[in-house]
Amino acid sequence: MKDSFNPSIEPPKKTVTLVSSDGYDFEVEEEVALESQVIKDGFEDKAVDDREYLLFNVHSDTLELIIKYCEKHVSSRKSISAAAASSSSSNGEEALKEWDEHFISVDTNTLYDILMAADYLNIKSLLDLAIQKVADTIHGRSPEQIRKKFNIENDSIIDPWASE
Amino acid sequence: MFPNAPIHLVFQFVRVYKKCVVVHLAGKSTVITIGGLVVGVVVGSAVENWLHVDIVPFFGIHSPAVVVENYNRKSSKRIFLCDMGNQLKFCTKKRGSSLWSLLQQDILWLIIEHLDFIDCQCVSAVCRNWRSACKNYCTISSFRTPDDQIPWLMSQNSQPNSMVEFYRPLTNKTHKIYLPEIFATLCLYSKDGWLLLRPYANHQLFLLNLFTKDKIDLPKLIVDPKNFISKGTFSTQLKSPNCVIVVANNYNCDKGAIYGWKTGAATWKEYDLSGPPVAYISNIWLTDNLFYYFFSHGTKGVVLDVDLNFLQNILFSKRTHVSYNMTVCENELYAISEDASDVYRFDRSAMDWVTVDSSNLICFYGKMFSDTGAMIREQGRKAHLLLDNLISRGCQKERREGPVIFVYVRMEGEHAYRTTWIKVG
Repeated sequence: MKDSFNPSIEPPKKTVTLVSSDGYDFEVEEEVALESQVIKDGFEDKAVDDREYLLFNVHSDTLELIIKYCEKHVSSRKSISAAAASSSSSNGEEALKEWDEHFISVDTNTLYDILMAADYLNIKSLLDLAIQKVADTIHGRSPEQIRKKFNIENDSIIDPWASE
Repeated sequence: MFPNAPIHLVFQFVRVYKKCVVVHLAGKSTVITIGGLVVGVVVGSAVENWLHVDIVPFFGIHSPAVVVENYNRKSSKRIFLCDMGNQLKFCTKKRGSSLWSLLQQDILWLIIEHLDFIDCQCVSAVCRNWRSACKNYCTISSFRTPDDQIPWLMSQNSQPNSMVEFYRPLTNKTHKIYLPEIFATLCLYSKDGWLLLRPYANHQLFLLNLFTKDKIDLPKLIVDPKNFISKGTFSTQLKSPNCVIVVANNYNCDKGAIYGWKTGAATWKEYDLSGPPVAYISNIWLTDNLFYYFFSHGTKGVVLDVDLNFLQNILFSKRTHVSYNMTVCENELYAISEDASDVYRFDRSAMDWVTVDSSNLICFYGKMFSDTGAMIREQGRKAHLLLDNLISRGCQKERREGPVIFVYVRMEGEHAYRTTWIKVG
């Protein structure tokens, strides 16, 4: 029985360190960090012990959310493909969509931070999600309501399609 | 996601550009110079310290911020030596209102892609930065025009240079636009945001797009002075009009003609009507390159192609009446009796009227020009909400019970407003 190994012991996961603009370290699994196209692009060229990314535009509060999002997407992608492999029906995608919707239901300041971070890190699915959220928020609102919602100062422009 | 090539290319360009700037954020041992930007940094002589120079696009301002980081490898504590300059202060200060107004243009474009025309108009009125993003977007792409199935209510004032009001039932909002072209004209037909307009004074018909304000002048129509253009319709291809057909007849109903125009043509084609076909025109319908013309109280019909060649006569078994209102819904023609007890659909294969289930049909008619009406099939509670909104806007619900609900437009005679239902979708 000496030859048998315990399958529960997995090889240590490769990690990447992400550093937020305010100097906090976030150690995340490699595949989670690779959700970001920007990190992915130069990833292979970097030495393994040098996998550290300084994200000057992303505050720790936002980075936490971004990592949460990426982790969720990596894990649910795995479970969806596992369900597909065992040909058992799953509503994983539906559940993920619901999770996304809940995730993006934030105030406009946080939404802005997420949007900028998603754009900066080039995480397409998150960028799309945030863009859609902004579009939904704008939809059906008058310019004044949009200003109020997004806390934008009016620099006095005449409204061409005045609504009431 | 990207509806057309040019915008896609622009986005690609922006992305690639950004990637160039962002990609090497990482890497302690990397010193980067980009496109002629030379960054010189003097650092202290501490041996174990690593130097990091980077250029970061900040909040849409693509002037580079030079960031110098002094980084101690042994400890997880990081110290940022360099103050990020005015930009950091700028963003903290701006927190009072918000950074949304500084949103960079390529992101605003992504947002605009998800919005329709009206929303974009609102976006462009929010602040200067958003406005310029909308303006620039127009140069590479066009806004998505609304495609509401529910018609909009257009109110025209008889005063010249006044704003035209559009009430949009879907959002329960009224929009005012300055459209001087529309003054003293009669709207014969509307579709996909286009209006077929006939000036009161002459026969110089034209097409006008409500959203783009594009105008198509049709060739001058030479009509017998005794004749009067009573009906008009047009078909669209890719949301652009490609064929216009109008009917002119005189009051005595013994003479008349059908006129057809196709894109690019310099003149109108004419199909002469005389005798019975002229009498009591009930409606016309242009669909799938066929033109249907109903007359004699709607009991007879003629089918023409778009070049106005005669194809066939139709004789209906069911006797509709002149009082029957004909309207198109979901690309099918319906005839509705005045008391709404009978609703027929025109079956194109059988060339006859068939009785249909009329539940959930909502008709939109003007009091005077019933043929410019529209009809939709609405289900569930949404319809009730819609009707409540319309009633509060001054529309009358004519049928409280029964399968068909008629919504008439209240005539605002004393203010000399004329109202018309406009099909934008």
